[in-house]
Amino acid sequence: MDKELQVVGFRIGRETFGLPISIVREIVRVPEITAMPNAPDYIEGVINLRGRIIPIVDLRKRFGQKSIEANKKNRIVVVELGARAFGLIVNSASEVLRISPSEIEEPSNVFQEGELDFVTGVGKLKGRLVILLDVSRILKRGELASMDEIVHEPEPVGEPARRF
Amino acid sequence: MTFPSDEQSSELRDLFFESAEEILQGMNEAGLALEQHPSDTEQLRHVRRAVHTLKGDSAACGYRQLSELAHEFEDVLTPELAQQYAGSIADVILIAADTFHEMLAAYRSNLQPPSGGALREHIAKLLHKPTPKTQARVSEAKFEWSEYERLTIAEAIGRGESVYNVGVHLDPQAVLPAAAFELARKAIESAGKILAIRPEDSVFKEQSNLIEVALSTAQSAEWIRARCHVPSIVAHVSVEQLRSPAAAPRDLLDILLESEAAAIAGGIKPASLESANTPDDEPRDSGASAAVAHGAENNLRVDAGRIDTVMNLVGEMIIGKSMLQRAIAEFERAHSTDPLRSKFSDALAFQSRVLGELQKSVMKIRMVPVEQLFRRFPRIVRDVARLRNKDIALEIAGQNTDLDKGILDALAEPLAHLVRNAADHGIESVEERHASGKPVRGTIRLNAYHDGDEVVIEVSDDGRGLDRDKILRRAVEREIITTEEALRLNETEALQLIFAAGLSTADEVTEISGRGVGLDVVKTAVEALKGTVELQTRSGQGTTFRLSVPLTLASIQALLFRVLDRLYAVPIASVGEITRISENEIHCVDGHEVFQLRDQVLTLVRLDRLERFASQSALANRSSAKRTFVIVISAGGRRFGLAVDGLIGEEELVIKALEDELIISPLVSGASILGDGTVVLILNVPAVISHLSRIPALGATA
Repeated sequence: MDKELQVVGFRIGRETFGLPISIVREIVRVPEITAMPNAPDYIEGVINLRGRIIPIVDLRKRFGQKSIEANKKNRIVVVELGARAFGLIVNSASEVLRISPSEIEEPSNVFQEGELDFVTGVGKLKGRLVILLDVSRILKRGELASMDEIVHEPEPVGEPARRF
Repeated sequence: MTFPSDEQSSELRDLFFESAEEILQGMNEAGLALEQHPSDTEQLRHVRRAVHTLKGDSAACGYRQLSELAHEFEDVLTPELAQQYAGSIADVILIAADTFHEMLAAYRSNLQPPSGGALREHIAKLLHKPTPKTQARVSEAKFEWSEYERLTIAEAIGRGESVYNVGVHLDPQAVLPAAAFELARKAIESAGKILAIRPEDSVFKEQSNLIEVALSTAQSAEWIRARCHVPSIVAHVSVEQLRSPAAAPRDLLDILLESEAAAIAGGIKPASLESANTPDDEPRDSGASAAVAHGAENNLRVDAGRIDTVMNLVGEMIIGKSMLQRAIAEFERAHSTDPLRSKFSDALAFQSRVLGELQKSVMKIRMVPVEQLFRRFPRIVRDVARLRNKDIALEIAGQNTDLDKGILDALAEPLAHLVRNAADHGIESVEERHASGKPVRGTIRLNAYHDGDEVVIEVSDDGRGLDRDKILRRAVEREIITTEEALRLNETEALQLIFAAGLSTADEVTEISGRGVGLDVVKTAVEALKGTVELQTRSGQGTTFRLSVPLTLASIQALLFRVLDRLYAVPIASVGEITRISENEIHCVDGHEVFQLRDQVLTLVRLDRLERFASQSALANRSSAKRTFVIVISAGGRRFGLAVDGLIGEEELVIKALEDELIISPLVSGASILGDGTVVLILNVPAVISHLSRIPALGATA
């Protein structure tokens, strides 16, 4: 049997999303966020994480939905990718989920179009669906999106899932 | 070439490039001095020593072409030849410095170095010979062993073995050169243990009629000579025993190997270099030589990155200190009678003092005198003066002023540009100066001095001065401003136009200054350092550019203020004054808000106009204050009012760069963390203002 995948699960709206546990550094309460002038819309601002200034991404805005309402349960999932660190603002961070690879399905075509191709798979766990994300793609696409006026680079569609 | 490890050799190369730049700088200076006093044999000796060091060091790094050229050049630098060609030797030295520089640049970027043909021709001219390219290679054995080989040799000597440098010169007339080469090699191999050999591979190549070997053998020098002297193949054998002499000049290698093998390697290296009939017996004086820092026992070369790390940690500690300060203040309020209070404040005071000292010390490590930069300019001025047939003197003052190394490096290009401009466009031709009754010799002055927390560098000339009307005409031609705008500009604003992109007032594009790089580059570079450029000019009397930059990039004295619910900071150096105005003093002209400050009309800039600076709820909650605080900011010779909702005060901020591309913004030059953990953004004032005014930057002031 394949090794189980360990995933940090969190909720944004009604959906449960998952990130590989290896890239999640910590989960913190939402501190005061300092807005950045002229940053892309989905950049909520920057926070001071024990002396380090990191950007905060609002995934819902990234997905083109309205932003997360302020709520005491809200958390920031701090992700570390190489030398880069940033926070994802989420409605609530739940638990570490163990998903066996056989329960993960390749993303359907719906996900591979437009803004949603950073979904690397959909895991099934006790009847729940967990949307697995490739964070590096979220950020990469973000840069392209903010440069849209300048370049219209066609993205290759339907690349195989890599992160998971 | 053989190297102990990639890492070590790349370290060696880095060190070499650094010291080579110093060597070339020394050559440039000596060349200029020789131009003035051609009989100055001391300067000539400097150059010779410099070239000699370059030769050895480049060979150690495996840069053979450079080493060979340096070797050829060294041969020309004799007092006799210098006397004979008093006029041209300085020229050749400067050409050599340029050639070496180009070769270094090529090596640095792993390219094939230029052949240096022009220099070879000059050398040949001095030697009264045609340009025999291979001649010099044949001539003599150099024994330039690599660093690894030298260590091997040193170890062998250390074990008590006798090591000889053997040079086997093949007879050029030998019938079968390839076979002769092979035979000679065989003979050498039979003579003892080979520690190092050139050419390294046993394949015969054209021009290789010399085999150099470091040989370890129990036999005598005579025996080796006899053994290697294969009749009718070998023309001549030179044998020299290597010892480990006592005191020897330090060089690049020693610095690198300081800890492990300095004593041994230092002994071997000069032996191998000095062996081949180079009559360089003058003692090297350490102080005056511009070559590698000799005798630098107490100096340490440290990677700048490591110092930055320490600097960052100190920055963190300063933030930590203000956190502690706040916590203690709170404690004091809550427990005003607790005896612990005084202990806390004593401890805090002590810690603050030590931390302050620590910060100063670390900052000092990064400080270097501006002389490092100023040294390059005599050559630039000389070249321009010569090309344009001008007579220009360069006066330098304040060269001991210290400045952060990073800032200094960033200023190198802008300053060179200003100096070149002054020499090329500022100073008039000899005839013109004569006609207007000025001394024929023009003067360019460089000056540096501290002014509070800033360093000011001035470049001034006594040339023709800037022609305001010409600048305006050109700006209108190039559609940088409109004719109407041109009429409204005052003197300072008009002059600032020369910093606009695409404006050059020189009538002709010259190869010196007109390379498409304008003064806008200077301005951009200085503003990137949170500095300012000012300029003064008087027609017929000259121009002065004044660059002000902060002492250090690590921290900044800033004014903190509040707009709506957000905190911002601007460098205190850009703040002219703070005033209060009431709403009815604000007028609207051309769609811009303006207000009057004494006899000046200033544009009012509102930060909350910036996209996403303000949340809607905060806007709604804004108390409709009757009087608004206005921070008057001087940027690039212009003054603006910045409307703010509240002033917090002045504080020293430790700058944290916002590097992540997600949040990078030209409007913000950095961020800092206050004692309570709040993030405060440091505004890039010029960018914010040009962003907000959204019209040609200079039309903003009505």
